[in-house]
Amino acid sequence: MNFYLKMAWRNSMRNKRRTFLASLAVGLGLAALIFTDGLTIGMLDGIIDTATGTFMGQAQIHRRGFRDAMDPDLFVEDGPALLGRLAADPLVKAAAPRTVSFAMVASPSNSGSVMLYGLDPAAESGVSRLARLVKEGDFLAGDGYAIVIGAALADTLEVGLGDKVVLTAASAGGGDLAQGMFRVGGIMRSGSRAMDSNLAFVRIGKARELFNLGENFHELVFAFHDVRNAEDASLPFWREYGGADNQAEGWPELVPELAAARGMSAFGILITAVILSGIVALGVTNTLFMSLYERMFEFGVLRAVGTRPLRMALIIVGEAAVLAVISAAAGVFIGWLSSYLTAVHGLDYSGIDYAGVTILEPLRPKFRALQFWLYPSALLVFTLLVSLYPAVYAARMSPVEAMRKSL
Amino acid sequence: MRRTLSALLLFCCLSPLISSAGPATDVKTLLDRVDRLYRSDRSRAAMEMAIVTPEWSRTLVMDFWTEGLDKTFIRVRSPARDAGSATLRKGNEMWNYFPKINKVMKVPPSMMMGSWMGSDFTNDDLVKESTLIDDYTGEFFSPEKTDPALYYIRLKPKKETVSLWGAIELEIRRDDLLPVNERYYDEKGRLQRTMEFSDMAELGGRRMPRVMRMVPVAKKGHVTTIRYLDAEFDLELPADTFTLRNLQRVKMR
Amino acid sequence: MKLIFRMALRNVFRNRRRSLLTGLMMAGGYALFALTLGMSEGTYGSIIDMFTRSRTGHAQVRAAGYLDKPSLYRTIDDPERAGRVLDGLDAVEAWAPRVYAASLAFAGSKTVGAQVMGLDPARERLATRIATQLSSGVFIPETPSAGVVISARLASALAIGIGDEFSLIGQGADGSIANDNFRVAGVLSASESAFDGPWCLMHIDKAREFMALGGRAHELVLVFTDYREAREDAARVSAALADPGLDVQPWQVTEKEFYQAMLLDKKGGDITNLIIMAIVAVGVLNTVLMAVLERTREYGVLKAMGTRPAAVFGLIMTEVFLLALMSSAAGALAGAGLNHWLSVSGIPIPEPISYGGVKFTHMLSAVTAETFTRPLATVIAAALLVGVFPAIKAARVTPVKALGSR
Repeated sequence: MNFYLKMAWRNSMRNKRRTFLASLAVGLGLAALIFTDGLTIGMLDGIIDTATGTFMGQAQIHRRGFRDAMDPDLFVEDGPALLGRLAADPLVKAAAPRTVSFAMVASPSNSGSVMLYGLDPAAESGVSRLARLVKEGDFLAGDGYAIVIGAALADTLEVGLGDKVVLTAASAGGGDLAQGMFRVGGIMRSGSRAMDSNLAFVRIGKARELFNLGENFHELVFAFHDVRNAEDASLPFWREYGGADNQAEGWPELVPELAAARGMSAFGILITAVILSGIVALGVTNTLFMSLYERMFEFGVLRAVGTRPLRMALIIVGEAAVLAVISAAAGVFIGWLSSYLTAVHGLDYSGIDYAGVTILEPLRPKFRALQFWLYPSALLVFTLLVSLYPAVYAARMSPVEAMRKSL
Repeated sequence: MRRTLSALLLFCCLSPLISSAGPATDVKTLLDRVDRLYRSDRSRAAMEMAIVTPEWSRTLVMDFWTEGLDKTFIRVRSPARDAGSATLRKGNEMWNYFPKINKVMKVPPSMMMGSWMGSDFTNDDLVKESTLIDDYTGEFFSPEKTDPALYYIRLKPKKETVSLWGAIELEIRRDDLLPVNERYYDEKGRLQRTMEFSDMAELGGRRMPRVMRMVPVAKKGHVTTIRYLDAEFDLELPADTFTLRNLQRVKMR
Repeated sequence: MKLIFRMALRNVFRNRRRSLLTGLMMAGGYALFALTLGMSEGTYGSIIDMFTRSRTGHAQVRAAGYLDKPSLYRTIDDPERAGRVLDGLDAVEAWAPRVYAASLAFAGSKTVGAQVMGLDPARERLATRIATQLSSGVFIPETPSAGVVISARLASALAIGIGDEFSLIGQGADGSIANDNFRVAGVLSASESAFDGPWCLMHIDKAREFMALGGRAHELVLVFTDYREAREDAARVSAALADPGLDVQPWQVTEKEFYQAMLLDKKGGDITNLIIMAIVAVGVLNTVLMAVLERTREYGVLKAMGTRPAAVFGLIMTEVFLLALMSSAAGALAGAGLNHWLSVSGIPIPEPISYGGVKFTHMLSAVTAETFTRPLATVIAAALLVGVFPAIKAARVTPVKALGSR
């Protein structure tokens, strides 16, 4: 084996230019795959993180049927107990309770309808990044009747920090009117027009008081230590916390469009990989044949001298292996470099909505292990496979014709 | 806003105890008088509401009955498209009836801030009741141009009062204690709404402003004007006036 | 000149093996690049087409300002006239009028906000695929009636189904309170329709009566013969309508988020394309270099015979160009064949994906001008560019050295 590799190496080095260019072409193919993979994964991960980490959380629990009409009486069955169990579950990193209601916010000049959330800021910090979105004022600090609204809503209502607004919504247990006066304690600028016009936040204690909810709440938001658990619909976890009355869902069920986009992209990478392999195959075959034809005479001599067909084939395969190794090295390096350079600044698409989620932070390619061992190994194997055709050709060549055909 | 419309609706229900007012000396007495002016036993009135918006204008004619501070029943007589529609308010709850679909709908809280029958009054205005004396603190003030025939009172909501207004300015006639003007300001001191009372006349044995004109300052081109056609006070009302059943009776009472 | 051409041509065919190798690289590169472009265009194309046909159409006509501030009162006052103009335009394949209003829906004790859309069932079937998005029941009948189609969300919020009655309350455009009873004729699919929120679809004339709109409309949905021309066609429609009170906007403007998401995806694809072009170029470089450098002796002979350097240069470049051309032809054939086949059958996606109310089961390709022009430009440009260096080298070779080599 060693002999062939040594010979293959020496043969490859004999025509440095060709070997260099060939490994460049093949290496670029690998690099392209690594970069595209990294970019796509990074982009999707970034978007998923934005979607789940900003506000929605990785998973939520509701009473069955709650999300259809936001009936205030459909609070999470046995909420406080469930919250306790969740917080103690080893898989769960953090959990937070929320009340959710349709409400009207009215100012002296105008009124607007919102989804009103009653939150616990301390618990929220473990599951969402809302506090970061509040650009003026604060995120429900203190115990008072503060309300946080989006900048677009503040504009419509013509209010600013400290101004009075009146909240109107249905309370639980009869649908009676509940009204409360609040002061704008914080203004949120999320980058998403939808969020900035349609959401309002108050302290969960105040919401419970106002809407007659006692200790209950409508939504349980939580995050796992490993986000992949949120994506695994087959875990017994969901049934454990779901049960007959409640429904526990991970983000793929809450935002199916996002899951769909990810599926599409994964498939897209596959197709790209196939096409790139086609080009790589061409390049490899081409190079091997070129090197073969160039040394036809030599090969003829080798045959004449008694080299067995298998050995002839092995020479070619050996050269292919050398080419593959050099290309893999080049490809990995170029792939890593381009991903790294792009990751420094990231690609800034802030403000754009993708699959229902507004992009808030720059997208960066993401490195994953398989880019650096799976893809190069695949390249190696693939190259060796592709080399079989010229190898067989070399094996079957007749010495006399070879020597005669030499250019 | 809220207080104003309840004032509007209950205005016709003057307590028989009120005599022609003499010169009152302090704000509290005045406010108490005005509050009691609006306190009612039972009443019935017919009125005309003219709504003007940039896109359309409409005039509704309706009958309404009240009892106490918390029961109201309104039935629309014209125009034909809306004739027979009715609204019942009991306490904090409100129902609408539409003869065309023959259904009674409970007004959900989210609709409470919506306009009542397309006017500039909200459903909420109809429902809330408050008293000046309980919910506001008032004091006399003197504007630049003082009319000696009027009292000027500025009201500010008390801390617990759920109200959007920073201040309400009342202009009340000294001789008969009838309001002439109300101005609503937000907390920043910007005028948001004005109510003008005019055409003082005798209705059902009482003197009151027949016409009320409401102009929301922020909404250009919107005016709602209410004119009383007639009124009766302290009459006997059928026991089932303020019931859901009554909503669905199309015949006028 | 003619001599060089004939010599080049003969050289190409003289050494089959060498030309084949070089040609294969070029043709293969061409075909694969064409395939990449075709798949990319085809996939986006089918997504865009399916998405726009599911509800929004390729462009919409509305009263000026409606898109930013929708209002019951901002209407297209004479949709009939607009319709006649549209019928006369070739680019417009179909159009459908719509009206919208926010209202309150109630049934039994449940009250919920609902969005009402009035549409013309006959025209709608030609323009969009709304009629196919039902999960049960039938679509809106072609004569105005109380039969309506509601979204899954509205059905579950009101707890009603096919055949049940419910009422709608709204604000009429004349100030009156709109109220009427309706019956559920069909329910839209929860996952496979473009109507996510609480929607109620009814016949446009019924809706107009409900909202007291007379003959007005809020929106005219347009479908063009080629969605790719949406912007240009929208401009044409706007010019034909000649009404400053109307806006004609292509889907790129009205569905801005969707468009931006597509652009985002495409940008990623552009990077891949660039890389493919680079790989093809490098591959071509390798083979062309080999082809030329191997024949140094030959060029030496030519120079010894007195051929001017410029002529040698020209000869080599012509050879490369001819080879590139022929390979491109072969590549174009293969590429077009592949793209065409895939545009019809497509590659089945292992797990069908639902997005925006559309179900994707296959990834399709497309045959467009770009799938021919870009690979052609790439291969020829690469070949010529790459050929320059060895051509110059060969042109400058001294006969003695050249003949002495090998």
